[in-house]
Amino acid sequence: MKIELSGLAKTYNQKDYVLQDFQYTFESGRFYAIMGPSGAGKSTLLHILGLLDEPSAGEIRIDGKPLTIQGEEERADMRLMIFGFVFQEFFLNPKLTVLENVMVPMHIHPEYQGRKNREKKKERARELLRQFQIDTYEERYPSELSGGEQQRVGIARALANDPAVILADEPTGNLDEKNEENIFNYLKMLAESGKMVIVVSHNEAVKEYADSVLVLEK
Amino acid sequence: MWNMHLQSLLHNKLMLIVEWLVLLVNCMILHFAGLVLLAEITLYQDRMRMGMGRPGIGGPEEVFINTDTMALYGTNLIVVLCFLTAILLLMLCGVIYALWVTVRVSVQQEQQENALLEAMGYRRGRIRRMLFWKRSVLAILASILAWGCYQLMYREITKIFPMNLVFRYDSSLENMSVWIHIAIPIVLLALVWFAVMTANRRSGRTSVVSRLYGTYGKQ
Repeated sequence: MKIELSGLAKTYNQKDYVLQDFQYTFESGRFYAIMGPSGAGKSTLLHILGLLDEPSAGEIRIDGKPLTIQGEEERADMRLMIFGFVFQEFFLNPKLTVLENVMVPMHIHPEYQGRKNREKKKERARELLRQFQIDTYEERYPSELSGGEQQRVGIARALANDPAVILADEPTGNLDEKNEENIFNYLKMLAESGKMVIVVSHNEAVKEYADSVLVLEK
Repeated sequence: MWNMHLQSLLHNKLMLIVEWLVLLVNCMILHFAGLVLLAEITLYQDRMRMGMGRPGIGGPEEVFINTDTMALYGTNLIVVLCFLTAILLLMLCGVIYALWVTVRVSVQQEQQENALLEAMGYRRGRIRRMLFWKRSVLAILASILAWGCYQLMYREITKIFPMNLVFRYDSSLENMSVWIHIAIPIVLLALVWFAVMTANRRSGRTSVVSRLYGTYGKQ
């Protein structure tokens, strides 16, 4: 998959531009790090890429085809099929177990609809937890896990529907150095397996793992 | 998916049900205090009509309340009326504030949860439908529990303040009162349910990002 951004701009008040005339091409199988000072538009760029926000100007092309989205429902469908999000604050549901948290995106995926696919969903979630070495925690609640473990659950959830693109917004912002390394290693592993991984980070350590580093200026 | 939401309802929204019950109990006390006030005003008017002047020991109140309470009310009815009015106003403010806090906190928490679901690919219409069923189940559960508490309280309070004094001059009030007792908890819950549903619909017009990161933005 290839995502091309051209002439991308974003403003919230028609005067000050958070992003202006941004162009870049992202490809699968690579780990991209987006860095820059606060207010440079890193997270805004990530949100626009992930269709959580709309650009004020510019064009987005996916595999050469311009992205023309009619409404919010269509955006949601694209997010379901193409993107997986990892957040700094983890955003795990405290009322659900680890396994249930990973399964949340699967409940609406066409491949896992219906009662007959219940076991398939659980098996997929367990497989992801095994991949991140947290399969023994499947019945625990997020509050019983460390920050690093919670973020691994967050990454597993982002991979639930096998998206082509992983977008991570400061995934190590709330973690210590050891867990940072682990998370970057996992994300690097995902890029090597063929996914497009785009990470926004203040952390200089991300440069050691990234194939490309984009530095945004204010 | 319904299991997930039922669990969510039971774990987290149990507190919301408890809060609503507290609100309802406050409203019931408010309602009964209002009836007592009405009874006191009727008693006062009764006394004036019978030419008895300022309230004192003796007269119709002997069949209304017991001797100790009669002595208390006999001393200065105006003070008692003011006291009851002050309690009513305080409770009214408390109920309105509690209602506002409950609805606002509930809406904020749900806004973030719903924004996360949207980020994962859930359509807004689907989220609204899930919310509709969740709210409806909550409202029905709370109504049933509130109705039970309401009946228990009414029986206890009418042992102390028989309502026949209020209804003496207007028997249609008695029939109306029965319907008011049924309607109050249901109307209140319907208002809360409607307010929350409306607030959630309004929040749908703000972006996913702003609801995900809330008032203070990313940490």
